[in-house]
Amino acid sequence: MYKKLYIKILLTFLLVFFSGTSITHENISHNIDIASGDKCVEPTDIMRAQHHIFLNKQSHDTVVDGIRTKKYSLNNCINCHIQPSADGTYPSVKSEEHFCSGCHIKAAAQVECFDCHASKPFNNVKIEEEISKK
Amino acid sequence: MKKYEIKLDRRNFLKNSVSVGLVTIAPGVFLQEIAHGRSLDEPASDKIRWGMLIDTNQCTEDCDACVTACNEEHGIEDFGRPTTDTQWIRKLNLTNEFTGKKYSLPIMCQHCENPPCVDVCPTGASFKRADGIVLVNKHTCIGCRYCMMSCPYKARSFVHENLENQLPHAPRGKGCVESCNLCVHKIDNGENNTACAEACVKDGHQAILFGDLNDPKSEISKQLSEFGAKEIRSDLGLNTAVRYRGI
Repeated sequence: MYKKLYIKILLTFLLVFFSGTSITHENISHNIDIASGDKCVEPTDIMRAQHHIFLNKQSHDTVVDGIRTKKYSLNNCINCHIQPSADGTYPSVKSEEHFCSGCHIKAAAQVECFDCHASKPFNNVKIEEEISKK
Repeated sequence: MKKYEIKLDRRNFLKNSVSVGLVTIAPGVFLQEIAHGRSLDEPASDKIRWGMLIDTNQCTEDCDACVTACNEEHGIEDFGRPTTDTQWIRKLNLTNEFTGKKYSLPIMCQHCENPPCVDVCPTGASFKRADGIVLVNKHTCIGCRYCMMSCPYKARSFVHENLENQLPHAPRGKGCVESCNLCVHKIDNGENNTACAEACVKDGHQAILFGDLNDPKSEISKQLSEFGAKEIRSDLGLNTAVRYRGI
């Protein structure tokens, strides 16, 4: 009798604990560029579940057909979601402060987008400095 | 059911004839727009075939403005390892043994109509776009390098190094093969010119001319029909989009 109750309490505790934190990640806050709009291109729940589908389709459309619409482009994501911290540097894609890595590191979902793609906006102070040096 | 009556008085007749006139003019104007700057949501059209004409008489041996411009445009770094470093354009200096005449010319992907790199690619990553540009889809490239072996122009490079700080318009990474993409990002944004051609003009040589080979009114087509140009290894029947004059 007590054993069953104990299991029930444990299960309820586990469910509440994990569904609230590790699945929805609502506790993660990010530094997002408010100036470029108060909304993402789709509602948050759709973006959380399907952003990879949008990005996959966009990558095919762009590379194969030459369609360069901004809405679902990875550069568009980066320009808005990756913002410099107080000291003017952009977060590394290897750290959890990077918008994409924040969830992917927690979910242990390794993505290879940034092996090739830029992980920060182009009007980066550092890159501009490097170009002016050359 | 309501019946629509059309009054054919003088006023309506004039109004209709003007609108018909506008419709018939519009398609011509619209076609012109497609050829020179399509909108961002439109796919590349097979009515266009992009190509380049290189005048080797204008190209000088000591100039490598096109190579530098290409490297800057696509963020290609030099790791100091010439055997494996990425190279989209290379300058070739030749001397005719008999006459002693010296030639200097840039060699890059020749954007063949029948590209051998596309034939041999096991994953379909090497492909020809509708407007004739031969590209590598790096999402599907497995880095097997068959395309590099099949290319008679030695135009492709394999990325051997870990790369950082890539440019947003030029995604590049270790383990993929890449080559000249005719500045596809510039074409898609309607600029319709390449970094190498711009740099060549800026340097005062005007050896590289970029344009639409299918459009008889384009500068490149006019020059090709007037002066002609050769393709390198024409015996292979690849029908390249990059042609050379003066060799």
